[in-house]
Amino acid sequence: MSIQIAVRNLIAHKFSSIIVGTIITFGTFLLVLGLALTDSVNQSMERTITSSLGGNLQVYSQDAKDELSLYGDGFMGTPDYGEMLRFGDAREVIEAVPGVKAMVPMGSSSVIVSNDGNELDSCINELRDVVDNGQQEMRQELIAKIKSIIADREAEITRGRDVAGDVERLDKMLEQIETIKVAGFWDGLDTKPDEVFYHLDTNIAPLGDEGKIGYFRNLGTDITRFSQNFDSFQITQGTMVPEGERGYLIAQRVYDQRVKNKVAKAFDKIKDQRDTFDKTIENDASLKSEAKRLPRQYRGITYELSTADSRMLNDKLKSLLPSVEGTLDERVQAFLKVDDSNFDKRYDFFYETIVPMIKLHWFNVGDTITLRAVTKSGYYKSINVKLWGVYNFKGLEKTDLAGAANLIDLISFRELYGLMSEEMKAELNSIRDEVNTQDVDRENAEDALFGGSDSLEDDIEDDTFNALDSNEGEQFSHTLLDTTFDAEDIDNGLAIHAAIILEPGIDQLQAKTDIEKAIQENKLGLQVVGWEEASGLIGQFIVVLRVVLYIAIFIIFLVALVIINNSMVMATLERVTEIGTMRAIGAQQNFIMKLFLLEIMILGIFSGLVGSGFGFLTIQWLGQVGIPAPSRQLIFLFSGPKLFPTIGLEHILIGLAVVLSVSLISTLYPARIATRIEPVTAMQAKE
Amino acid sequence: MRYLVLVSLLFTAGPAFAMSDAEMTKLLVQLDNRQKNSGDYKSLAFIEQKEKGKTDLVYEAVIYRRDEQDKLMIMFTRPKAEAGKGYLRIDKNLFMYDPTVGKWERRTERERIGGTNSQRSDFDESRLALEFNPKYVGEEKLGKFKVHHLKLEAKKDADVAYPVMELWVDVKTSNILKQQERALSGRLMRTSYYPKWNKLYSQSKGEDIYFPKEIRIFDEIEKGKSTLVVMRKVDLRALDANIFTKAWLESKSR
Repeated sequence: MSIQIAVRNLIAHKFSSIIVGTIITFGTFLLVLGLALTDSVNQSMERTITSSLGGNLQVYSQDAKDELSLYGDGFMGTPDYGEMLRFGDAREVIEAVPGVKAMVPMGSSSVIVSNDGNELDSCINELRDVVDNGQQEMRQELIAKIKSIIADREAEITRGRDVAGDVERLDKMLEQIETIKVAGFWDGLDTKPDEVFYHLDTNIAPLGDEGKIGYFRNLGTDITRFSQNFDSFQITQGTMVPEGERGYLIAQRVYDQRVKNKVAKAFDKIKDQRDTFDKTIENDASLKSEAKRLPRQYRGITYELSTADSRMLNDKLKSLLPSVEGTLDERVQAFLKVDDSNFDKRYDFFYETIVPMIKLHWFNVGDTITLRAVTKSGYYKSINVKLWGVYNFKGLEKTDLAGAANLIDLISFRELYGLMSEEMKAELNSIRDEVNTQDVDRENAEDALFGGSDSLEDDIEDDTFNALDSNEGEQFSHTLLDTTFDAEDIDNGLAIHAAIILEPGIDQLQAKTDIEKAIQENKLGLQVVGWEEASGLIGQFIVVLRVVLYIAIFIIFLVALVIINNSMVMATLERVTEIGTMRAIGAQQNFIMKLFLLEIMILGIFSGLVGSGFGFLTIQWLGQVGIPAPSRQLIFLFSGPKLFPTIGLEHILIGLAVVLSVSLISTLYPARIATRIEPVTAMQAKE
Repeated sequence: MRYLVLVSLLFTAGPAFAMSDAEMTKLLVQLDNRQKNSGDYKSLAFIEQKEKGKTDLVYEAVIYRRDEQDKLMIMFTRPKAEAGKGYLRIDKNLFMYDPTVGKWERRTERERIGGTNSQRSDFDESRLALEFNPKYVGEEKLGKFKVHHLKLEAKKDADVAYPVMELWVDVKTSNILKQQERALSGRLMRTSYYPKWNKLYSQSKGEDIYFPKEIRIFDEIEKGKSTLVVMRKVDLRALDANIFTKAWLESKSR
């Protein structure tokens, strides 16, 4: 009976019912959509992080001063995550916990990778080898290359001289350049090579530009174990580091973005933006500026060419650009002037004709590269490692974050980390004991050093120092590169943190609790965190996303609440006669209240279902077509170039529950007004 | 009359005397010359760095100098892991060699030798007069010693780690007792103390040469970081010319 009256009332007051119903429909739609999208992004992120770098859980020292952040938080300094001095101790305990598939040791560090100084340094070093080996033809080629680089520098310095205040310094540089133009200078390579190289090393090489240098982020790990446990890991070039051998795998993104020839990089960028995002050089400011910069980077090609290749390229460019006259430099610059009409042709020509003549990357797969890092004690440590291959994570090829870290074997990582063994500490102590020095406090240094003895000078007898008893005469041995290692070496040494991979279907929270218990029982002094916490600021993104969503929903429903409330109050006032009459024929206040709440409940359920339906259909549609990631960061969050959202029953139920609650709350006040209408009011209204 | 004496005392108070530019330059030349040897110089140095929360760094290094030709070589001999690493200065170039990777790298004047707070200039010949212009700050007391306080500013083309340096030179013996280096902004970077100088007769020079027995360097940016350099032994015999070449240092490591 009440339901019939309520439905009849809703139909009778169509206008206000439509307004309120539309608001509820829209609110439910947004809520369901938002909840489903947030959960989908959360699942994508989980997939990205657990399958690429983080694992389901991460474990690290309880004594850590900083919270683990797998992707770095962008702050200065090296974070302190403590140390697991014997990784094997923790591995044995944790891998014995039911549901744990594997534990992968890890440690992050930053390294500097550089080539042999600048381009001039490299050429001079090559020339030195060539002279030592008596290769005449190569010698002339390298001399020509040095002269060409110097000619460019001379032009630059001369241009700079006209505007710079520091003319004297630039004049001295020009004077140095003149010395290699003197007749017979290069003949000195036969008669006095040491003098020539001394001059080239000390006076000519410093005139070159800054050398190639890269600051890379490394993840030290058991590379074999890593590749077996992270599903999306794949080698794209070269090979895996053989088990038990030292080595390096560079991330595809790093290889393409930071090691590639700058001209190739510019070509790639323009092509990618044109093909993937349908941008054009003409209409996109960033591409326009990239295209404008390109001709200025001609040295990225010409410096790399041998004499024979220079001739060959010159001939090919003559055919391609018959109207351009001048030197090879000018032809290359003309070739690099790209626009939308010639880009595809120039791109193909660059990769088909020029790339085979130049070094596409400043170091290649198969090369031995030198990594330099600051150790735990603060001194620099350099090691050589072989670059075995290039890797990436399937589906995440275009994200900078997933491909930010290069992989280095754990033994080499430990070398760069510089943890001192007991033997090393003993050696330092023995050196210190020989000198027997006293510590002096900074605050009291002046009193301690100049407050006691009256004498500042000692006369030393000549013969006291005639011999040095040091290791000076020894031959020092360093053979790090060739050493191999086994599983025991991995287990017996340091790891900073480790990823825990769970068997499929295992509940993460339960596993965490079980692992924590095992750690406590075995007194390992470690802490366990989920992938969200371990990924630092990145993991916090989902929390921020949820907060933003909830705030947006709160605002929407606050507005809805006011509008519904207002509409209902208006509707109530319009219905004074009707309510008064109902009251006159015996309707109690409770009945009126029930009627109003019933009306809004019916409207809420109906509109909520319609809104949920729209939300459901939208998510289903988006799940089919996917939401494209407009940036590399979103590719990481979407676990691929597109997000394919899914919707669950819980999203619809939560949506309906929230919307009905808001509707009920907003109707309480108008319903209360209605209950206070007296029959006499209805009669007065008639009059 | 008493008033007159007071006024005259007021005017004569302050530094006992201010050194003229010529006197200061003379002092800098003297400081440089007494450390310079006309022949060769070799010393055995102990270098130790302490830093809060980090393992101490300890090295033993041999320093080779041929001041007449402006050449310097620093070779680390201990600990084993660092043995064979070295620095070579040729003219204005400072090269570093790492035998573990078999590579030479061009380094700057700011290079921290072996990652400590010491720099090339702490081991190299003194070139104060050549590289700096002095200003007299005043006569001061340092502990129980009376010192000249000088402020030095780097000359235009000088290759120095820091453009401003302050020196406290013992009035009586003309030994540097304290040195502070500042960045261009005036920020204090390092304070070094030279509590003891050794004096050794050089046959080739025909007079004494001086070298600091001990240098204590305090980092003024990272508080709690300090470096101690002890010159354990000095040998003034002639050195092989090959020592000042890249090939020589390379040949020391397999």
